Order: sequence, then C-alpha cells, then structure tokens
Amino acid sequence: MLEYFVDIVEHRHEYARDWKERTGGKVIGFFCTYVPEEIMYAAGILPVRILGGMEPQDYSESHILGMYCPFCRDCLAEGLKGRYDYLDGVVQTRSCQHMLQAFQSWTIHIPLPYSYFMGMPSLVQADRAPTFMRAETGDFARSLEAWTGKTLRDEDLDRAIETYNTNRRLLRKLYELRKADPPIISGTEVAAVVLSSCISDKAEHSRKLEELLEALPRRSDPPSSATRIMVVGSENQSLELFRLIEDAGANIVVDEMCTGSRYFWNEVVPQEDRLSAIAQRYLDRPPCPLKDVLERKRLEHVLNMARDFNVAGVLFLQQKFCTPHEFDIPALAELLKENAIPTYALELDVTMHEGSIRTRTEAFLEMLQLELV
Amino acid sequence: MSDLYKTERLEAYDWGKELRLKHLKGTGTARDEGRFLAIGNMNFPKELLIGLGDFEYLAGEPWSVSINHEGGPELTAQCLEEVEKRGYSRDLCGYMRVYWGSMFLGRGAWGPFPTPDLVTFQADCDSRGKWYQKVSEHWGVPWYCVEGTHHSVDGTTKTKEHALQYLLDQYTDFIEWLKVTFHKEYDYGKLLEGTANAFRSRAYWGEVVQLQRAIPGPLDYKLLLPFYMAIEYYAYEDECVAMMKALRDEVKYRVENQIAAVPNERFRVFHEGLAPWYALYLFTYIRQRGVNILGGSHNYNFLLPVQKPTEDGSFAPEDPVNWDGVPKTWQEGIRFRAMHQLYVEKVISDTRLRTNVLRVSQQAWKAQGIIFMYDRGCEFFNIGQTEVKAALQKEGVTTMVYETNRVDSAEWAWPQVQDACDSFLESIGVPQMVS
Ligand code: SF4
Ligand code: SF4
Repeated sequence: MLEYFVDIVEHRHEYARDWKERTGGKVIGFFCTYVPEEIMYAAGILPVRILGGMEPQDYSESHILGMYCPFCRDCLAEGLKGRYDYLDGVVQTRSCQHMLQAFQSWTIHIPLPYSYFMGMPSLVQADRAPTFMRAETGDFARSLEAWTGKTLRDEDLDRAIETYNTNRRLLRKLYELRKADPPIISGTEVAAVVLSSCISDKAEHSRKLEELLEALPRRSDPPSSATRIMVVGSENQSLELFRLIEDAGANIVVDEMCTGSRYFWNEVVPQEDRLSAIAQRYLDRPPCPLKDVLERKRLEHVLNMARDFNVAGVLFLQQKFCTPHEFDIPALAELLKENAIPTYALELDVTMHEGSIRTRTEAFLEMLQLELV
Repeated sequence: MSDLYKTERLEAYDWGKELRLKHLKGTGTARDEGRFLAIGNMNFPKELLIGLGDFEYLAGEPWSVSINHEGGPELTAQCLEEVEKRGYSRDLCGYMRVYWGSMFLGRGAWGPFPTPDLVTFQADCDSRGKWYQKVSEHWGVPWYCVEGTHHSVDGTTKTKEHALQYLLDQYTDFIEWLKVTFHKEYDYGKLLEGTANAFRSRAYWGEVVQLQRAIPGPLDYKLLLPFYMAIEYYAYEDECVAMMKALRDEVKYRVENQIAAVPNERFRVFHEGLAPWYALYLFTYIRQRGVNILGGSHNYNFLLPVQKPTEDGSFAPEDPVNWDGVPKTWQEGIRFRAMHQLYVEKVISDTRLRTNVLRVSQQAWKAQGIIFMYDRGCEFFNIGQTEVKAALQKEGVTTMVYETNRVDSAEWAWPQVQDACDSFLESIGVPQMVS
C-alpha cells in the first residue's frame, strides 16, 4: 500500500529519469518550497525538490563554510557527485542565505541549460508584497516560456493549479486521519507520502494517494497506541529518523516542517489573473521563520496544530546551524510551555547518530509519560 | 624596515571618531534634549525620519562594536551569556547576540540601554528581521519594518524596476505611517536635504576611495573605519557632509604630497570581511611589516551608486565621481537611497558580482593579495566567501584565510591566525620579521 511512496523516496533519481524517458519532458530541481512549482508544471516540466544524500561527504567543504547548515551542504554535494545529472535546470527563490549559497555554488560548478533565481519578499505579510511577488512570478513565467518555447496559456496554468491543489487536498485528508488515536498511519509512512510528493509528478502521486486513502480504513496493521508527538523544524529527508523516533515509543501524528505540512497546507485560491493567484498562495502559506516577521503567525499556527492533533509534546528537529529556526525555537518553546506542551530539541547533522537519537527521544518520551501521570 | 615616505596625522580621523561617539553617546541623552530616539539596524534608510523632527538613532551594529570595544571583554561576555541563557544558539549573528544581551541586561558601554520612542528596521540579511522583531517585542513601542533585499544573483549590478519600486513604495508608506502614528506634520523639504546630504557624503567617499588607489596609499584600514561607518550611519547630516569633504580635501593633499598612511609601504593587500574588533592588533601586526591593508569590497562598495555602472551592468572603478546625480526633489532622493540599498545588498550576496568587483578592484588598487575573514558571527558577509576566494586564487591572486567571530573573542585563535599571516606575507614577498 505504501511501497509506491517509499520507493520514490528511496529511488528518487531513478523515478525522475524514468519520468523523463516516458514523457520526453524536462526536469528542474528546486531548492526551497517557496518556488512556485505550478508555473513549471504548467510548462510541462517536472519540478523535483533537491535533497541531500545523508552520506558523509567532503564534496561541499571547499564551497560552503562549515557554519552553514548541513542540509544545504548536503544538497550541493549530491549535485557535485553527479546524482542529479538528469536535471535540465535549477531554480531557487529568496529564502534563507544557506540555500542562496548552495544555489550559487551549484550554478558555478554544475552548469545546466537553465538556471533561474526568483525574487520573493521577506515580508510576506506586507501590503506591498503581492505586487512585487506578482511581478517576480511573471518574470519567472516569461523566462520559462523563453527557454521552453512554449506559451503559458490560462488553460495550462489552470491545469497545473488544479493538479497541485488536488494533491494538497488529498494530503490534508491524509493528515486528518492522524487525529484518531491510535492513528491509522504512522508518521514515518506519512513522511514517505509527503516527501515523494515533493519529488514526483503530482498527477501520478495523487492517483496513488487516492488509492491509499481508500484502502487505509481497512488496514489490518495500523500503528499501535503510543505517545502522540508533533515534530517541528525545517527539512528532514530521512525516513529512518522518523522510524527511530517512532520505534522509541512515539506516534508522530503531525508536523510543521517544510518537508511536511508547510509544503502543502494551503491551496491556490482561484483569481482571474492566474499568476496573481499563484503568487498569493506562496505569500499566504504557513511561513518559514524568516518570513514570519511582521506578525508572528507561525507560533499560533504551531500551537493550533499541536492542539488539533492532541499531542503530548513537541520535538524540534533542528538542523545544526539552521539560523532561521534557531530564531524561533525559544519563542515557540515558551509558548508551548505556557500551554502545558513540553518540548525537546534534537539537533540533526548530515549523518545520524542513531544511538544518541534513540536515547534522547526515549528520555523525552519518559518525561512526557511522567507529565501525563 | 626603513621608511620610504613621510607620514602625517590625519586630522579628519579625530573628527570621525568624535562624530561616532557623539551619536552613540547621544542616544542616552536625546530624549532629555527634546529629540526623539529611534532604534534599529544601521542601514535602515534613516533619512526618512528627518521629516518628523530632530532625532537620534541607535544603530545596532555600532552599538555592539561599542560594547566590544569600549565596554570591554567582560561586558561582552555578560551580554553573550545572557542571550544564551534565554535559549538562543551561539551560531546566531554575533552583533545581534551582543546587542540583545545589552538590551536584556539594560546596560551599554556608557550607561543604561536607552528607552526608544520607536523601532525601525530593514529586513535584508536573514538576521535583521528577526533581530528587531525581538527588539520591538521587548520595548512595546511603535515599530516599522521595511524590506531591503536584492532579488537577483545574475552577476551584474542591474536592478529590476519593480524591485526598486517595491522599496520606494515601502518608503512612502513608512512616511505616511510616521505621520499617523506620531500625529505630526512631515517636512518633505528636510527629507530632500537629508537625501541630498547622503548623496554628497557618499560621493565624497567615492572620491576618497578612488584616491586610495595612489601609491603610497593615503589611508590604511584603521583610518577608513570611522568614515565608512559614517556614510552608513549618519550620511544624511550636514556635519557628516562637512567631515567627508574635509576628509576628501585632506586625502587629496596627501596624495599630491606623497604622504603615506604606512610610511614603509612596500606591499598592499585587501581585507574581505569586517574586523575582529577585540583583536585589532592583527592589523598593526601586518602594518608593521610594511603592508598597507587598503580596505575591502565592504568598505568600497558604497561608492558605486554615485557613479555610473558600466553598460553591461558590471563593475568598473570610475573616476571622477559623477556628481550630476545630487537629488533635486525628495522623490529623487529616496530613489537614490533605494538604489544604494539594493546595490550594497547585491554586492554582498551575489557571488559572481563580488568576484568581479574584487578582481577589478584588486588590480586597480594594485593589491598584491587578499585576506579573507571567515566570520562565524555573520552569515551574510560569508555568502560566497569561499567561492570568491577560490575563483581569484585560480586566477593567480595570493590569498589568506582566517576564521573567527567578529565580536566573540572566545572563537579567536591568534597563534593560528599569526601563522597564516606569516605565510601569506611571505608568499607576497614580505621579508620575515627579525624578532
Ligand atoms: S531553512 Fe535551515 S535547514 Fe533549511 S536550508 Fe535554510 S538554514 Fe538550512
Ligand atoms: S548577520 Fe551579518 S549582516 Fe546580518 S545583521 Fe548580523 S552582522 Fe549584520
């Protein structure tokens, strides 16, 4: 039932190569979930999120300083190792400086037929942001048109928006199922579904996801009851990490991560001008900490999720040196504490120290058990 | 090592230092003297505040340097500790941690941390938005944030018109917000004066930087410091314009009369990155060996917006400075300010552009090598630092690297830095020092 999704995660490059062969289309790698994928999809392109390989590596050391997060260095390393040799292009938008550096190093050392950097407001909630974002979205669309030779018509954009919205809707449905206790699907399995969505054709993904949603209620081997926790952070590309956490005695029932719910939580709301609609979706999405400046929407969003999914505690999955998230963790921890939700931070590096993750997770879960008693 | 040139004290230097102290200490007395106190990051477009009346501005970055420099290691350590105690990571921006610590403790280098009337900030590097989000929450006074990010990394100095307009709209929105929030008339004439002053200060700075191409260099790294800070901090003031003009005149005189900053100048190098403020003896160590540290792209890049970029959008040092652009209306004034912001931001974050800027500057200023500081206290200045270094090294430029944190001396390892310095100096041909 879930093999399809796990297989894509574990054989992501084979999937993309196969897709290219099957469709004759182009594949573009993107570095951050603020890149409006719908526009690429409308142009017949498969957008795939660039992820790291989680192997010890020294490929990126001479390009990115050690004070930058391991995730951005790992992504670049995968490119330098040639794992993404099927890409026709790369795209990045203004998100964090770490990824800005990874993108620039990529374009210097791995030249591809197409590369594009799209502007993106930091103050997503500002009155002036939509106009600027619309202009940048328009420039990106024109650049893709020039490169592919294909004019983006409203029908193309509508098709892409609908395909993406459908996938988002289905993922939200999947998350709803996690509210049951015990949930019908484990956090590790959900992670496979969401991660595979970031790197595969949404139409194909949605078909399989519909089948999964249909089959899940009849599932004979659901997860057993365990401590319900939420994970919060930036990227996690490893199913193994989730497995370790859940094996320690937890059910991960919800997340606020950019390889998780932040990726798909909101839809494009239709507008006459399709590009404005797409632009607005990215401004309105649950913000990354860096984009959450004018109002602190993120804190409330995390708290509401923790309540809605009835979690006993929150585990921060903190990529080492990820400054965006380091800014928010103290404020989040304080707010959750005020609301009687204990927290704990696990620091992530390129490679995992399984023993330490297990021990620390167990200690956190024990503490949660005591709290419950 | 015998002297090759005569040297003289730089009169304007004292003015530069005095003006810095006047502003930093003035933050403590401003409100009693009937001026309002705004606090925020240094490169916030402070010109926009002028129309509201007399003010003092507490700029975060020089405030942190003052904790480090005048407050001393003990106060710095207390500040850093306070921030860590509140759960913030040591990886975060060094300036911000020192500043937050000072704010949480309520202590600065010369007395209490002053209470502001408003907080204004510009989100550009990843830290500034979150830095002052916390500051505004701490003080609970009116606050406003504009964005100053550059949105392209195409290797050129080009700026999209809508990106410029985005900043301009925010500037005018901010002015409207000031009027409504403080129920005051806004003086657009003052705004024009301020923006024209900022242009003039930067244009004089442009000339000074061009004059620094002379051999011997009329200035060295230490002598540049109060001025390059001045044009980011209070360039909009009459006094700053007067000081920069005096500096330009004095530097011109020094060039015409071969008056050197380093009397035994035999070698010239650039320094990329800000200084480790607690270890400025590094610069003396290098200077003593007859090496003039001429500055770096962060000191110099401020000159370009008052000059004409080349046709292809790349960088070339221009001489003379283009004085035609002095704003005649406040609209032109804020446009110049926005262009300046986008340019400065772009040179730092666009790796290809900075490589180009540095390549051209290194040749034009006849620098034999480049020292790169990998600053663990500032991610922003480190964007592309390794790539720029590698690209220039490949082209035959001699380079040196040292890693530290500009404000946290716990990360300073002088023996290693000294070793790196010695081999770098040797490789550009500086004779070994006889101990
Ligand atoms: S958000 Fe954090 S973990 Fe992700 S790329 Fe940026 S710094 Fe790295
Ligand atoms: S990260 Fe660097 S550029 Fe940004 S505020 Fe800190 S010191 Fe300044």
